[in-house]
Amino acid sequence: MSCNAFFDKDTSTVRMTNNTKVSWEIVDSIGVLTIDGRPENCIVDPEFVNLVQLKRWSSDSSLRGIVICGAGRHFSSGADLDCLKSLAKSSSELSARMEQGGELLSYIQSIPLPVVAAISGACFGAGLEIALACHIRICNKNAVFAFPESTLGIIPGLGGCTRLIKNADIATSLQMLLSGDLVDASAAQTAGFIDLVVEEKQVKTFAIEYLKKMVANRSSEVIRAIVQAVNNARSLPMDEALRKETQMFCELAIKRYCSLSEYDKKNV
Amino acid sequence: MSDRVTAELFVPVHFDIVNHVGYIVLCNPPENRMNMQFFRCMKEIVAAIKKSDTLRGLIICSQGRHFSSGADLDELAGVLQCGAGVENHRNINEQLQVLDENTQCFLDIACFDYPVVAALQGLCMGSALELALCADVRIVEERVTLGLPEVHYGVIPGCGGTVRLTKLVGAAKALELILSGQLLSAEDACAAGLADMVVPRKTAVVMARELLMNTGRGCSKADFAAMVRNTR
Repeated sequence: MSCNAFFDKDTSTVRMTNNTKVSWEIVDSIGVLTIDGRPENCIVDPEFVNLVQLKRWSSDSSLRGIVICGAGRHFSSGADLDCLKSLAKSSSELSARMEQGGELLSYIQSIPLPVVAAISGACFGAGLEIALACHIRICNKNAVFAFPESTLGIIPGLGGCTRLIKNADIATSLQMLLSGDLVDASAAQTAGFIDLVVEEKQVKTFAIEYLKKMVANRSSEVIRAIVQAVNNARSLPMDEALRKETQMFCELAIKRYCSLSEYDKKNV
Repeated sequence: MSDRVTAELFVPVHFDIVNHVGYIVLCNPPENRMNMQFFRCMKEIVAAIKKSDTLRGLIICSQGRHFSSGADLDELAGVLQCGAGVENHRNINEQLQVLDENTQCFLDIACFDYPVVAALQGLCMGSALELALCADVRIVEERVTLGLPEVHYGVIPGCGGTVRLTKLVGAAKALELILSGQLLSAEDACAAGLADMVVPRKTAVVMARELLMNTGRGCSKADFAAMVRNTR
């Protein structure tokens, strides 16, 4: 079985095998990335959406935020085991693919736009790893979370262990990683890795409205500067993150208050 | 006393040491605006504190009803608006250099080898909150108002506020607060993890003093410093 992802002719859909595809739409300047392999939205390739394609989509300058969600009832039940088994036949192939998947999630974490995971139903394994790479995680009451990898003799390999511990308390993190036990929405919020539990069944719609409200009245460049500064806080050493924040402040302040010509501004 | 002499004597931040605890006191009430003069004074104080060998704790507090309403953006706009020309380029570059130094000054406060406590009341907005975020503990009085409203002026917090808030409360809450520019009450700030305790009016400094009363007693300066660093 081949697990190659390839492009459809319609570039707003990237198809994986086993009928899991990823689609992109823009709703009121919010980009919506949907993992669609109903019913379970299995992740067939660690690079679940082509990185080059995602970069192209997210570089649209009119975008003001991004929502990642699953089609239908579930977010994603995680990696497709058959596919993993076939990948594992070649260790070099497996590590190359995992590396690409890791790079994709690092990219998602570095996008200078607020990224929200809108979660309902199952959010397991690789699905949860994708959600943990987002800035904000919103779920409804029927959402359930787990890292079942250890029951299969492996561990989460796309940053799941590392990102879980940064968002959840240590006790819950170890419990989830070692036991593979399910955690419900309210326990996930208490543990700290879910930011908001909502009554709405349609989490995607809620997340779009939530993002729209969050960035209302903000210029595109202010949104990008703020999210970039927040991303830097998570990825750069303290002094470098601080220097860049001050630099971005200066650029915005000059743009806003300075009466110099465009030419002069460039040369300040 | 003539007005001119008064102006020369005026110092917007005081520093004092009592029982090995340093007190940085913002004393330009009612708003304790953080203008250029404030930052100049603050940098001198921080440089002096760095040389001091006797401190076991530091309290940042203020005189008057408010901690501070934050930086003076009008003043900054005035400097940047001065127009084209070589001379003004130099002014603007100097100003940008000053902003870098302000950020460094706050970083120095966050890196002292002993606990730093901020005692906050009234308004604590913008750069004032950025300063308070450099402390290890934030004690707020009832009816305090905290927030980073920079976004309403088309800019972002530029003195470490976005970085420190993200580290303190996580990306989701930080994005919400900075993008919206919303102001928080004492209770909301505690719930968000932004403030550590709420106390009755006019008691924040007392509580801060109590917290630091016995810190570091009975251990060497080096051990104490290592312990403090490990908690950060």
